[in-house]
Amino acid sequence: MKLNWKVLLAGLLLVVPLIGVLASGFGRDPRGVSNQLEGKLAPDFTLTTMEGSPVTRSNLTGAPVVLNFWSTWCQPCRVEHPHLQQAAQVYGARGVRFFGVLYNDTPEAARPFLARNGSLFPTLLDPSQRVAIDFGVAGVPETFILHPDGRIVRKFIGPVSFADLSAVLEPLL
Amino acid sequence: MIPLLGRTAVLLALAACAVGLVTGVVAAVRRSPEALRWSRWMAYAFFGASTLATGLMEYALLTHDFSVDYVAEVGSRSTPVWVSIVSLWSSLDGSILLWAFVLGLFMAVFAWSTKGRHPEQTPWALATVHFVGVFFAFLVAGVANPFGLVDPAPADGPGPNPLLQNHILMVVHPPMLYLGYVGMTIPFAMGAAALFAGRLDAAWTRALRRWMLVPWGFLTVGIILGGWWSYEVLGWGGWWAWDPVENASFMPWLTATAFVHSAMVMERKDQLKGWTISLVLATFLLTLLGTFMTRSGVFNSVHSFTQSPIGPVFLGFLGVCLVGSVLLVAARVDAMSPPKEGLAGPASREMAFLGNNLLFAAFTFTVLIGTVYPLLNEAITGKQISVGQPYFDRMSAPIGIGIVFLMGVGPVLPWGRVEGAAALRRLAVPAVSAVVALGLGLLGGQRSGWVLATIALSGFALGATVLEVIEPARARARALGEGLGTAFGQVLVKARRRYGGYIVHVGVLIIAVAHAVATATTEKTTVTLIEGGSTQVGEYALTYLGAESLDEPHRRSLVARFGVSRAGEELGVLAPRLNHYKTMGQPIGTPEVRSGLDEDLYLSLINVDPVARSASVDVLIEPLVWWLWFGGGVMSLGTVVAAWPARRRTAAVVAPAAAAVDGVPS
Amino acid sequence: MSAAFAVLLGARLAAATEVGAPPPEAAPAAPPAAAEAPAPLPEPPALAPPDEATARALTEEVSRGLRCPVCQGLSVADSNADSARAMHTRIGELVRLGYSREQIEAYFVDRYGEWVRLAPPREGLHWLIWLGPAALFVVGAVGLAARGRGAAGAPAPVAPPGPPAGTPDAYRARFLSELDDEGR
Repeated sequence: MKLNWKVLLAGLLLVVPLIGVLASGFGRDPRGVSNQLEGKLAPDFTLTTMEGSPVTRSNLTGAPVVLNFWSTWCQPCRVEHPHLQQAAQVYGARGVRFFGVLYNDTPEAARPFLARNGSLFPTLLDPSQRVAIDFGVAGVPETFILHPDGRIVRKFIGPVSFADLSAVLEPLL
Repeated sequence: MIPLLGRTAVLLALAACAVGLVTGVVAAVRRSPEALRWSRWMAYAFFGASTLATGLMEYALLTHDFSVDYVAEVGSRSTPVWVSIVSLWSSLDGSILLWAFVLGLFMAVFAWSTKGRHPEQTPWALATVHFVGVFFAFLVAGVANPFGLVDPAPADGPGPNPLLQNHILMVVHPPMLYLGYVGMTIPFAMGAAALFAGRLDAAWTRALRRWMLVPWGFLTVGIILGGWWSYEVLGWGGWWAWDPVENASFMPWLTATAFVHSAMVMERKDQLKGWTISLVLATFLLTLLGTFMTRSGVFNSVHSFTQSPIGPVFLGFLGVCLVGSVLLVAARVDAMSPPKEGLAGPASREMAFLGNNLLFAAFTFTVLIGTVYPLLNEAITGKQISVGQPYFDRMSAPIGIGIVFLMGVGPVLPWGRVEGAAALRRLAVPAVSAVVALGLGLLGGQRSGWVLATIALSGFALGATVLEVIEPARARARALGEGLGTAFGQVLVKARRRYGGYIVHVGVLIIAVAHAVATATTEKTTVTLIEGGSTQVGEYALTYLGAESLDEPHRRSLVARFGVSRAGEELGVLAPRLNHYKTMGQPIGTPEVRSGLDEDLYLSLINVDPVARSASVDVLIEPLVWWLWFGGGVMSLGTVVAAWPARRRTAAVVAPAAAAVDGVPS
Repeated sequence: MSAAFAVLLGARLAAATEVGAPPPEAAPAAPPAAAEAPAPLPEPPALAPPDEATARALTEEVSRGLRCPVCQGLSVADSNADSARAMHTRIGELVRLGYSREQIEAYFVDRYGEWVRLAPPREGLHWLIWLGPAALFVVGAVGLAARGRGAAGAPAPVAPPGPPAGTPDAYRARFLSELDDEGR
């Protein structure tokens, strides 16, 4: 039996890299949304709270900022809500500013939710999700921790816990 | 009880295949009829055991036996009966069990049909099928065991993925696809057998062609049904998104189609054997790759299950089969067929077939590299990228057009070289039909170059195909004085494969034109209406009639009703809905479509505001979509005609027919 | 080429298996020299604002080229998801302000990552997929042509002379001769 070397070589050249590439995919989450903005200056914005007062991001420098994008129809947002409230209580006293940003939702839905579950920090309205897009938000909940100088130190995708927030905020204080 | 019984059945299946593999190899190497009989019986045993295991699992699902691992995972007391049945293939472990069942079915039929025939290749083929059976039985017995015992058994389960409960197509699409996918194991085994035995004779080739047609037909139906499901269920108005798993089903279809055509050259001219057999092997290997892509979690897809230990095991098996196939072909290709004569001249049917093969190979390679490239890029640069519709559409358009062109030119050209003038004369009718089609396209408002080219070439191909179908019937009718209908019937009976193939071609052309037109000229508008309000979209007037809540045991649906009329004529009520499944956070929409021969009106509900009593809905007007499904039906009809077993001719009938070439055929 | 892959593969597997963001930075003593912001859109935009029909067409074109961040592979134009709709609206705004397709794509890529483009740009390693299939086709065609010239140098077979082309006899003869192997 004689081996056709051309066929063998061509075949292996096609097959072995293919297996290698497929194997390289293990251990990696193909759905992972990249954290592009970490380390970069947070985009500037001016939004109003539900009570009507304007908030400008560039005026918030000097203290760490926690920016939480959420909505009432999002199940994990409800799960993380008490954690955020607790963090706001503990770290708000130490100078950290907390803001919620409503994502694709209405104040009419948010107000009863906050009345029922507590709101220790203001919620900003982002009517056409323009600021969310500026921050590269793909869905809710997403939470951004800003350095006092305005840089995005950390972006959480999915619900955050008190421990998550502590771990990032402590070194900033 | 059932976990134990099920597990036992699976282990029996594994044992059967293991014994079948060993006896198959012994039968091949030692030419032992006794060993062959064992191998065959082990195939029947595997079928019995896997059927038993599958039956037990269905029983467990229907009786809500939550002590069984898989039932605890996807079963539920609140889902309708049909959902309980289809939960078998709704999740990873159950679908591997389904694979084993379908494999057993094919194996048993194959073993039975090769009894007493093809003594040189059958043992090798049986051994190969058993080899694959061992792997899948091992998966079901080990890594993907659905029969684990859950103790204590929970009272209820979460039910299968809600997206899969939305539509009855869930019943049909996966089994069809499986019959196609798994069925490819048989042609693979036959091709490998030819290589192992070093012998590919006409009888085995004919059997191989038929055994390829059956899974090919199911795969075609499965793919079309998948497109239909995507259209009717997912709510985005499209039917093909070049999703990795869609591509995974498409690639083996491409190589299988290339094989069906290449085999014709192989049969007539005894050439291209190495390439043709490689296509058979590639088809099966691509089904393995496809399964890997669906189940490993490595690819981001609508279908993908989460990463599980099954991934590396599957990749290992795929790797072994890939390398083994390359070695096998390299070792045997030279012995198969030394080229005797050059391939035919440039304007011959051979060349058309070769061009066809080249295009299909390029197409397969394009889809493969596009699907795999994000992984490659990430491995090299660490960055994530996407390769999606814009890439695949751009690359497949010229290839598709080339294939349509060959579909027109190929049947018209004869085997061997043809004299220039005669060739041109044959193209007269197709050229006319091309111009007519182009005119119709322009009249219909099409202005895109690609679309018009598709329409014109499809018209060309349709003319050529119809000519090829009618002319022999007419010639026969004239010669024998038969009516055209009788002549046509007789011709169809005598040349089933060819005319079945032409019917399939017509189906493909219908799909090509429908797809091109629908993709290019679909219009999407988003409207928000208050209850009682109306708006005009295209020729349609939509009135929002209100929304209501519908409570079912497993979900709560918000149904928004819209009155529809077109150019004044009332068309009824369309009611797209948003389904809130108890186990999922976000609602899942179900669109409603009104299909017409000329266009579809497609409504996809975005949201309903109960306070403002308004509803937002996407309105899509999609031309010619119905013809996609109709074309699929035509393809299926053609496949049935082509694959229908003919009465075996006896020697006595063949001889006079061969001698009577110039005389009157019987 | 396979060796390079093996090395890469080994490196990948040996590296952190954690998926997701890198660990949070330790607090720096002083702010870094220049923290880049995500690229803002250039002011003023490169082009003048387009008319409504062009704007709608361009919005669709750009939307078709960008990926819905939460879907598996659907474009912003096709997807019903909230984030896709928000992006679609934003794209429409930017188009009507006069920004070009390249500028808008760069804006989104800067915030979401390169994967938000539904097809990789024609540069660098990406040429592999843009030119690869065509290259393969050409290689195959050349190979076919070489084989077609006849391995043994024998001339290509000519169709046997039969009844004059175009007559019913010709069709019947052709049909019957081709029917030989088929229909069984």
